[in-house]
Amino acid sequence: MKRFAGAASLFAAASLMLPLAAHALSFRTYLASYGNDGNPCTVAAPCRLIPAALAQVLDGGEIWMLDSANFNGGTVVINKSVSILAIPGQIGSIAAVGSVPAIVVSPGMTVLLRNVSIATNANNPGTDGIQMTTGSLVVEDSAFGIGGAARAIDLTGLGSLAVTNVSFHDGTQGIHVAGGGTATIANSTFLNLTDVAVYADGSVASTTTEVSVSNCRFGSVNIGALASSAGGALRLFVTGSSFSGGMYGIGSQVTAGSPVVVTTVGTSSIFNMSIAGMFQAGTAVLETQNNNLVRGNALNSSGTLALSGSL
Amino acid sequence: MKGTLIRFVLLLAASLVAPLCAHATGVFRAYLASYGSDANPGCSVSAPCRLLPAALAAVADGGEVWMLDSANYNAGTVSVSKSVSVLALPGQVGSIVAVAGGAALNIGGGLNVVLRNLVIVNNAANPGTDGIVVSGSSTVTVEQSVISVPNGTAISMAAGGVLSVDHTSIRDSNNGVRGAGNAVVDISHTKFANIPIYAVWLDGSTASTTVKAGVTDSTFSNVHIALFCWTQAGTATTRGTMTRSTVSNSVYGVASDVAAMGGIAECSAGMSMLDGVDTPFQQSGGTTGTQGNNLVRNGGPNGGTLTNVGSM
Repeated sequence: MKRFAGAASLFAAASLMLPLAAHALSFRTYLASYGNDGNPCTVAAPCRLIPAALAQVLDGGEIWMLDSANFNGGTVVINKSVSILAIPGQIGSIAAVGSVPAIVVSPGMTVLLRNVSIATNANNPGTDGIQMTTGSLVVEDSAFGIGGAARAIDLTGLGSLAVTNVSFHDGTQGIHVAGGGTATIANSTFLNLTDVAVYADGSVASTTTEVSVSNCRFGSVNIGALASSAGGALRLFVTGSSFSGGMYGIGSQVTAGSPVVVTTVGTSSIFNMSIAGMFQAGTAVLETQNNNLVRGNALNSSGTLALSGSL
Repeated sequence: MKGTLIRFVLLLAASLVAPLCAHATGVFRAYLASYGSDANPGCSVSAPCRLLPAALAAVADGGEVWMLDSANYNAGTVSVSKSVSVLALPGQVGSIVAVAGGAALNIGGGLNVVLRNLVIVNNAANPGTDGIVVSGSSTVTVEQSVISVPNGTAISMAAGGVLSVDHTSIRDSNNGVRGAGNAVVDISHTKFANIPIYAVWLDGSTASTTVKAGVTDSTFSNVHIALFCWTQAGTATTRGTMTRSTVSNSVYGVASDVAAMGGIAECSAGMSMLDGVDTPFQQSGGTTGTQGNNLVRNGGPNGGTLTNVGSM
């Protein structure tokens, strides 16, 4: 009898603990414009802002934005591996506000962002869109409108970045990759950026940074894709992309020392650049597949081009 | 007691000043809905406005206007005089009509304007003219939209600036996109259909100007001229290039024309297909170029001299 009573007590204790555990960490948490951060972030009682949903989601879980609204009040620090997405037909807005970035991905996290709009707050501007160092970040079907002297995505470390179907417009830099990171960028659009749209930065010695760009479009950006190094090795591949109406299309340069910097360009088009379609400087290599259409630029090329050929 | 009174007065003053300040700077994001009212202050999400001019008045320079549901959001030409993004939510249709002999949108100079997921059409009962007229030098981006204005030009960059058109359908309009002044035009992933005059028109009619255009991954069907570089001023230059695009069932594909007063007109195409085009390439005084890797079939002969511009 005593044993039975003990078992019953344990069962009662467990039944009390289970809901508490489930309440604390869910596989999927929900956000909505009508939510409240005092809620458990369930679909029936969603939360209002991303930090609340992050606090209640399991590592490896998902956060769904159920309707169109802005879902942050300051920098969102993503300290779990998580997928954050607005459901189709809605816009999940995350604003860069108050002189800080919109999102910081903590080191080592695996994060996916889908169908989000990351813009600066015109009344109280922020800085970058997303900052990360290591880990993995996938961004799909999203839009960035980061004004001012900022980067839409800044990867400075050994992390990996994959960007697909994303629009970057109206800012300084689009994607900056440095310190041995790897970036794959596809089917994306870069418009009206006042500096570099895709920047492979070899400023960190003893690292190899690799960036591939395919089927992307660059319109009215100062430099479309640039590999520039004074220390680290760089590989930049550009295929099936179009560059139009900026200052430079594609550049490959070494500004100090003799790091290995190789930029390869194929099946792309470069039009109407006010300075040069392609440029090479220092010991950097700029090789073309000899199937690019380069027309109407002040200079179609500057420096020395190498031929990469095809297989 | 005196301290409490002072605190109350200060609090009252602050509560009055704060909304005034917010109104003066404008809201970061203003909202429109079919159930909205222009009397709603600030065009908030819970109390949206009804028409675009009210939202433009409420929003801060550099802010956004969201159309929350499907409806028409103007009653006459909408003048845009601040930098702004105007968009309908995905799955909704944000309609702006060209009505009563005017353009649907008139965008001034010195601005940065983004238009996304909009439908700009003519009001058949009380027709307007053009779709979007950019009357000053501004940066304008049009994405994921539809424009159909049978009495006018879908998008006209009349005085320079930068125009980007992406994933947009332009149909049943006299002209598609016109760039003039010192306009720089980028067009990608866009469909042009049933354009009886020029689909992409680089208009070199203003002296001492250069008009540039790049067209990629786009389609042209049943148009008179797909890409047209034209000058009629001796010191004007027009340069256009088309890649990875398709022109079908049309009169001209890529054409360059220098009228009697001179100028430089250069249009080229590469990696593109011209199928069933009466005159795939036309050169009349300017330079019409091919990269030498276009697929040209089921059409008539070229006109004038075709220049091979090669690859790099």
